[in-house]
Amino acid sequence: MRNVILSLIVLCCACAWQTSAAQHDDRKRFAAVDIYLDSGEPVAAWQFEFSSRNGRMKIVGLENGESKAFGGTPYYDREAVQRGTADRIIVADFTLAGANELPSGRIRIATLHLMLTGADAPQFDLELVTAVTHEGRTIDASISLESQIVRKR
Amino acid sequence: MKPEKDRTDDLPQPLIEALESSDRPVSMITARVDREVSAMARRHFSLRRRPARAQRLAWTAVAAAVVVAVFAVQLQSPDPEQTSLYTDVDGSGRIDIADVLALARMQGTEERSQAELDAFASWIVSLARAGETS
Repeated sequence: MRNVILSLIVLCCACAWQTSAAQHDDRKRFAAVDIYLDSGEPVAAWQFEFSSRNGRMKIVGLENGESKAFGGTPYYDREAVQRGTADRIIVADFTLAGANELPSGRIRIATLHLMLTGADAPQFDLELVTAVTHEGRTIDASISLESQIVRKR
Repeated sequence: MKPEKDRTDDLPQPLIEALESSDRPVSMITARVDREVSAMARRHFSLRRRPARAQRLAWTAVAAAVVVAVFAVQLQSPDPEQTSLYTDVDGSGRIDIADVLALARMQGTEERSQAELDAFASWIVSLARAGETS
């Protein structure tokens, strides 16, 4: 009888721990990720691809960067983001502004808004597909990100 | 005077007999018989019409399904003429936003509208397209 009671207690504890772990995993967090392009030459067009290495991420929004030459929202798959199915994203933009108006140096080209799930720290993959000058010549530029978890729920 | 008799004298006897035998009083069709015949006819044709109507409905449904399928296929598959524009314009070996910039900077007959450039750029960032090509 004592063994049965002990088994029941252990079983209850296991169930409680499992429920707690599941709740912990389903907790949603939101993050804003700034994407920076570092270019020694003025940039007229750029394209990058962003994804999560360990999954459990959805892109829920995107806003444009700080350059006046790239005034509008960049091109991205709006339908996938609106459906809530975008676990990766391709973002691109171009401008026909004059060469003297184009940005160079370290510029924020976009900010991604993400919804993260799970307890693991997010790991992102970011790849610069292309960056070109006004004449269409490829620039030897680099891309980086800065992320910040903005809210917990 | 018997003019009719005179005229029949020239006819052969079997014909005269056949004509006389067919000269009987016409049987009377009463209103009741007429109604019954009419009702029978209606029943008969109503039974025949049902499958015809069902068949017409079936053909209409098939035609509607074909029309819907054609529309669905057209909506899903991009216009081949449109996608043929989406090429490696700058000759870099891949299609990316630099091709849109190159297309936008083309002058003369190759000049494109903003809507066409937007469509090209949207096609480049489409995850479905990227999934197909990757």
